Amino acid sequence: MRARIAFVLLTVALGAASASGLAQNVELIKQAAATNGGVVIVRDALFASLHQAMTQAFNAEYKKYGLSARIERVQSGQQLNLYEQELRASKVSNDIMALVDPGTFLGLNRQGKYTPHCSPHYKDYPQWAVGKDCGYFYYVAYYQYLAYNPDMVKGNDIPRSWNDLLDPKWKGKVSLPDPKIGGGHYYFVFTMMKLFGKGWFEKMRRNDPLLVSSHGTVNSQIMSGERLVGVNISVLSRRDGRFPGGKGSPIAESFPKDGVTLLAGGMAVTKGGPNTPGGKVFIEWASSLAGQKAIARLGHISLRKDYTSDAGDDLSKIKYNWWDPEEMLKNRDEWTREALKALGAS
Amino acid sequence: MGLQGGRDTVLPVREGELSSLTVAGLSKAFGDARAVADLDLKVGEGEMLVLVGPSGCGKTTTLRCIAGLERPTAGRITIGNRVVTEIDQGVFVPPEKREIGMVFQSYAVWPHMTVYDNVAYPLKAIGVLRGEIHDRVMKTLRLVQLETLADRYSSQISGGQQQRVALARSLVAEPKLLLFDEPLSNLDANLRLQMRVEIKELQKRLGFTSVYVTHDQTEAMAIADRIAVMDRGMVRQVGSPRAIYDRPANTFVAGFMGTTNLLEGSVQEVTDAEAVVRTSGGITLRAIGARGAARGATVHVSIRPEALQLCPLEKPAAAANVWPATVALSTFLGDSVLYRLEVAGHTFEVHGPSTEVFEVGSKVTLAVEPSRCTLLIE
Amino acid sequence: MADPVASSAEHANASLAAIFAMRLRASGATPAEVVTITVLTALVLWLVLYPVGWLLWGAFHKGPPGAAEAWTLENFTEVFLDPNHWILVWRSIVVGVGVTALATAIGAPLAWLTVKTDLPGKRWVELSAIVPFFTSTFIGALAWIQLGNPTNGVLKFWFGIPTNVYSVTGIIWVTGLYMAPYMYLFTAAALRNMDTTYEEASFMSGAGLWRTLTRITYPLILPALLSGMTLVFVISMGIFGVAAILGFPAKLHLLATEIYVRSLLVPPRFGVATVSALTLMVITAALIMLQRWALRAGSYALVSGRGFRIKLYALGKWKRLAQAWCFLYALLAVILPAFVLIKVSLQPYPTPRFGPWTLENWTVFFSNDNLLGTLLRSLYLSTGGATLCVLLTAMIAHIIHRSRAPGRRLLEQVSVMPIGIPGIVMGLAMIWAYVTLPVWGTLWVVILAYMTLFMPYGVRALGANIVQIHPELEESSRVHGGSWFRTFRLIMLPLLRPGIYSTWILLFIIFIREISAAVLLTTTGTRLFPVLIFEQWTAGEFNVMSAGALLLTIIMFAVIALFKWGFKVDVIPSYR
Repeated sequence: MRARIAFVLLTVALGAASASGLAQNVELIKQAAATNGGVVIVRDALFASLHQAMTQAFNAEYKKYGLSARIERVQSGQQLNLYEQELRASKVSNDIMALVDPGTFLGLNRQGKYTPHCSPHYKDYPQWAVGKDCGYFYYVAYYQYLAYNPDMVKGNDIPRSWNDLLDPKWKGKVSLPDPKIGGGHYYFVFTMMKLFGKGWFEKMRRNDPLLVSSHGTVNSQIMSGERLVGVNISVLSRRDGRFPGGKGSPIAESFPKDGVTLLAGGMAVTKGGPNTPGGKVFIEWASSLAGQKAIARLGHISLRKDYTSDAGDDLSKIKYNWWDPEEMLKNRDEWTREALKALGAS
Repeated sequence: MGLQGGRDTVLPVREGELSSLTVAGLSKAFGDARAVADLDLKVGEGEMLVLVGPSGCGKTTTLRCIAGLERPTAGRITIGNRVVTEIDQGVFVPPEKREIGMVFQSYAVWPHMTVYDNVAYPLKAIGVLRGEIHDRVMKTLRLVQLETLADRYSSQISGGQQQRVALARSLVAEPKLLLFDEPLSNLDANLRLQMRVEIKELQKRLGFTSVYVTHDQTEAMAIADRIAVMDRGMVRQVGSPRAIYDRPANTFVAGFMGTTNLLEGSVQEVTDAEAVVRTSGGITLRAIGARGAARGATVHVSIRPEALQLCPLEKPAAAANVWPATVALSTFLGDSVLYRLEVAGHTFEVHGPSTEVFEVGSKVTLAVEPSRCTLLIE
Repeated sequence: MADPVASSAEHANASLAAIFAMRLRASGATPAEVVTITVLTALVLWLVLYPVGWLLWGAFHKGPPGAAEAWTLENFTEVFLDPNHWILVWRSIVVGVGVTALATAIGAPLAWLTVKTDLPGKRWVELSAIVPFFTSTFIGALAWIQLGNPTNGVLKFWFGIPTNVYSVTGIIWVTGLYMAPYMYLFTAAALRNMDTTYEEASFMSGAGLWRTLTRITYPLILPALLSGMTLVFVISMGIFGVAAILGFPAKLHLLATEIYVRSLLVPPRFGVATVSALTLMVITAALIMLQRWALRAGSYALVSGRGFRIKLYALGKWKRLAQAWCFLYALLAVILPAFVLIKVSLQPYPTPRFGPWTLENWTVFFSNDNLLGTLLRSLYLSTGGATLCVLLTAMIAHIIHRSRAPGRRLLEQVSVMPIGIPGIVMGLAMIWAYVTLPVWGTLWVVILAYMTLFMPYGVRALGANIVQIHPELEESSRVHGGSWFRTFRLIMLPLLRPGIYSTWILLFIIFIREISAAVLLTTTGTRLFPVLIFEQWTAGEFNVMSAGALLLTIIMFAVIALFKWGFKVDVIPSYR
């Protein structure tokens, strides 16, 4: 009980301290620069291009304080396992956890496995984008929607709804993220179950889809023409596709009329990492407008009230679904199993 | 007179002489197979003892036990005045601490080292000072006439030269005991004879104590001060080459050390030094070495082919043992003629001079002095 | 940690070691030898039995490694009552058998053609039969997705040949294609060692070619064939990369991939993964016992001596067909895959078409610290790991072949045990064994896993070299004042040098391309290049990772070429 009170007090104190402005912030930076050689270790499940942009922007701003970030790509499932293992061994090796699975953040935050830190910028976010007691926040979001090969799919053939993928004309031509694999793939499972029920997967089974291990694979398969349509994310289709800033490869986006799914990447300061002050500085930077401008590019979207993306996305103008993490967490095992079963997988 | 060495006889070293190697009660078993059984040996200072016997007789195992390359099952080995193996006491000195030298059948000249480095190895291993090493290596190389080949590798020298390297390497540290394991068996016939002489000369010159293993009885006789004939893990006879050859102690030694004519018979009569034996074929002969033979006992008599005299039937020789014989086979050997003769159901092998040739089928007289007929009890 | 398994294992190790040391001294070994043998045996026992013991322990416990709770049989009931598990078991066996059959069908005839016939251009045939050994099944799978995917693979797109690599057949095809070199090497070695007079005697007795092949040659090389087939079966049962890349999209899971998925799922299901791993190990162990039993029933010495001439069969009118067969293999296993990887690595996105072109996929390696760092890490690990493994296995092989010490049989048997442990199983076992220890999360865990897994290769390759060295060369050193250790250092090691070089390079190649064991073990700071290729590939980075796969292959060949040039070592893996 005392621990909990102490914990809350600490949280409040820390929150107050960090919210109280610049003076403390400089103190924090100094402390961070003096810890672990001034390096902040970030584990992020997202994409290398994003990591590069973040590293460059952060280091450019904090180099003068002797602080730098090292971002390592670790996929969600593995990152979670690692973190649990390292926590048990009291040898946490990263300061920031970042991955796309709100359920994870909800759960770990509840178990007190993060170091709460209230960034002064959290006021610029909708309430749902910041975890309880400032345990974490959603530093990035992107669309999960439909993608197609514009050289091979044209006009009326372009799918406009999730249900269009069920059309028999796509038999052997659809690529889907494998429900067996966690993270962002579960978003897709949840969306279909929520909108259409498991019947959607049963019908999809007749179209003989490839269940691939990542959205990136869907993306590549569509570009190559191996598959013509599929479920993709904006981060990939905009990076590679016929979109301003993309490489001009044959991939295009389609917003289903039933609503795109908004995937959110959470970010939290770990507990017992080598440079916890550094983690706090990083999270303050990531939630700032400057940070978000570095992050929300080429398909990545900011959840800030004052900024969405470099592509001028406007969340108020499209139909999107934001799912309750609580509900997602609750149904995860059962719905995943059902979807797999309906697809004839195990 | 120690000629009657039997199976279990410890060879008595001549009085007053130091024993450089003593092996007592040595046994070695590999699983159930007994390679050496309760063996005793003594080698005197500066003496060369040759272990000879058919393959599998335990001679190499004995040598390896002395070297410390095998751990005996039982027994005690003393080199100089140091006990190097005493199984009952748990004493077993590893080979590198026994201060011995050894020449192997394969020469075992290390191919990745020069001749010089091969010979220097024992000195380096025992920590001889650097300056001293060079002098001693070169001295030893001169001894075996290899000083000009010091920088060569084993692949660049001949088999005989490799043998010399092995010899030099075993000598260089002036070991208390030198062991030879069939050192000449991989050389061709001429080289073998030459090396045999060289080893003997070196031994005479340097006076090292050694045990030499070979399966070749000629080699054994040529090189040994004393010979120990082994069979099935046991020593069957020990003695000087001459004694072993002329006075074999048993049928095995008689048969193994050169060719011989073995006649089986029973003792008719025993006198002081001689016995009268009637063979199974029905001939009677007188033989020496009768001590211990009882009347009526079944014995063998060994007669060396060169001890038998061959005369024309009409010119009988004056000897105690004379029998008429028929020539069954004659083989011309150049310096002599080898005959096979039939005498009352026995077959004799006889060497005759090449000057006088007897035709197959001709009748001859065969004679032999009793002193050259050895009676063997076993 | 008062852990029953760990402490009892330690206890058992300790008392075993004590008994062992006692018997060792009785055998006439010197203290240095006793210490070395005892330490080595303890080390090998530890390396092999410790992780396996933990795996077993983990199967009976609830919860993840490092935080296991109560004893339970739940893991077993959950897995064994799930009909799906038995589908995986069945499918894995089908794949194992299929791969073994295909590899044998390709490798054995190639070996016969190169060793026993007058086939022209043998150097090239031999090269193309060995090159796939130095790449890897996994890189082969990356290429074959481009070649044989059902919609627009190169074969379909350009030649209209319908293929579907996303299938059990596809998995068998690609794995078998790249496992064929194992069968080639085993068969070729056996054929080379076989005295030709056996066959000549058969011809003299009036038997024809077919009869001689089936009645004389085949039974004589059967033991070697069986050894090779067992090895191929075990490896293919544990192969993870190909199965994941080709199987997942078609909903085809195998035991090996199940272990991976269950260990990395959110939330992970280690109990299920562990029981799957045990199932896999039981199958491979059973097969190895079967092989031993089969060989014991009819074992005979194949090698009758060396230096005899091999009589070559004249192929005559079959020459063209034989050449076509060899070329077809080279085409499918080397030429086409290399071509497609090079092509894709030069394109901005994967496409069966020619163009557009770019160099970006290659330049990224030299501008991205992460990629370059991972590559360097793999090189360091393989260099250091191969060196350690060679040292360890040289000592083990030396003791096995030269020492009379009791317990060397034990050392021999334990040191070849890992042959029966599939890589992915070892990975999981290592997690159980080391997750709470300080080495966890460092490259040492990976090195330990690799050393354990590939110890048999070193022991066998070096053993074959040691038996060629006359024992008297060592005894001579002992007698002339060299201690046991001095003898090993100054006589054995230098004489073994050519064998050490070729074994080192074999292990280096195996280490640098290994993925099955690494995929569960490497974490952020210890990511290895093949794992990175796998992860980035599954993330859709086909183009960059085609370049990566080629880069890895180029490095391997550069090292091989360097050794051939610098040390005159021919890298023909010789292990049996």
